[in-house]
Amino acid sequence: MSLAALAALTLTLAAQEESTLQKLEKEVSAVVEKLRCSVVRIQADQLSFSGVIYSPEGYVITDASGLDHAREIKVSIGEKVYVAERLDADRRTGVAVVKIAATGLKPASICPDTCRPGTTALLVGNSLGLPGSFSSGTIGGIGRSILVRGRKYENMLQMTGADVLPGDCGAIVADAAGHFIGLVHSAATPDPGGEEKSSPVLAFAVPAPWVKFSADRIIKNGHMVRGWLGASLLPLTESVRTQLGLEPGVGAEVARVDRDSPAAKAGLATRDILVAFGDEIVRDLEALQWKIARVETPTPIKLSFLHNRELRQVEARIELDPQK
Amino acid sequence: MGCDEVRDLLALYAGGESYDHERAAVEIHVGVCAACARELDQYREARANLALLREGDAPPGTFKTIWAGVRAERFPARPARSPAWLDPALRYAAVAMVGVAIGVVAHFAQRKTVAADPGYATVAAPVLIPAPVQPATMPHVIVPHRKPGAAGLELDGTYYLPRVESLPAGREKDY
Repeated sequence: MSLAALAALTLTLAAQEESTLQKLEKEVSAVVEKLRCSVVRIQADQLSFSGVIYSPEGYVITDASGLDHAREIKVSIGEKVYVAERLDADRRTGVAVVKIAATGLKPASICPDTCRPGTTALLVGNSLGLPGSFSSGTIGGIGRSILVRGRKYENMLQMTGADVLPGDCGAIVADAAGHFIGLVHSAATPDPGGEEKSSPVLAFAVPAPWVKFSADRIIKNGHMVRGWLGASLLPLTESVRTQLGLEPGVGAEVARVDRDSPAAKAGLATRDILVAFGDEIVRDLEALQWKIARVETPTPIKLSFLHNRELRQVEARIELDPQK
Repeated sequence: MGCDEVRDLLALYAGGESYDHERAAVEIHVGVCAACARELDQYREARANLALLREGDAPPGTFKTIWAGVRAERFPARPARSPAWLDPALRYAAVAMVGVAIGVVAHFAQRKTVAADPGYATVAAPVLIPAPVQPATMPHVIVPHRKPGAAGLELDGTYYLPRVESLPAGREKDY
């Protein structure tokens, strides 16, 4: 082999050797490009924010509060602008569905499970109106409760490190594989002065399983349908369980009962201890929340609870959430 | 209702001894105030532990006596159901607020006169803002910086991102 050929081969090999960082850059860029195809800009009267293509049939998911009282909703995908029809929203998750008459859409790939803390969070939205803006961070916590515009939202993902800016509401949060793991909802900042000088330090997103649940129900029924007991439950401490003679992990305290709710009609009261729901012992409160939410038609159910340490069994009726 | 007033009511609320209007005020406040929500949780736990004593060694009626005494201890001289407008402190406060309002109006009227004088130059004094306040006072919507006349970012609309008002401390979830 001639010297020139050897030099050329060496140069070629050197050019092919990429650092880990370069490989990472390429992979992230590829994922971001894919995500950008599924992110849209929503214009609801004067408000501008983000949304995500949910299905090729033209269903787009976004934040519900941004659409409140909007007279006209427009969805921009690249240069094209579509007038959208608002289907409905789930007030409990804050997810809304709008429909546009468009073809060739590329929906996001939805991750069926709730992600874990530490998951990489890739965020693509419309920061300050700039389409396809990308930022990255980490899922810093799951199952958070937040209060936004006087309404409580539960089971939220907490994101840290990503720059979530005005216009990013309804943006996509994806994991490193590019799967949708959350829909940007809101942001928190410690500075009450707010508007002039503070940047959000924590952002919150609706987790993918609840987004999928709300969107599927709205698309299937044309409006939101979910079950409702009308009570707030609190996990028991082990010391209380021990003194009540309950097995570890069993039972939940009733912290609040909504007026005229199915729970109130069944006679459930604050400080009762719910021990069984139907034939199942109450252990996993998240599973119970799903079970109640999945109810599609009013359904009778037997509740077993301790009232002043006396076991009671009543017939309750899970009704449909009035979405107030 | 502020934190101090609500804290007086938390024990009553946890014990189920509060009146409807007190209960409503507590529920609204703990929804937006993490500190009071935490305190309520502690009362609830204490209450739950106390409840276990009811069939224990204490003589009958002990438990009820403990909780019945809470209102008397918290509000020794205050009639529980007197309408708020009869409270003399509130009447004095209303008169004081009218006075302050007149003062503020007079102050701004005077400032306008001074500003109109072309020979006068005023320099804004630094404003000292107290330490961060409750998140509940945050604005509902974050809007981008828009300083009229300032060089730099020019935006063509209102970009939406709701602001979290509070991070409720309680672990209860709605079903």
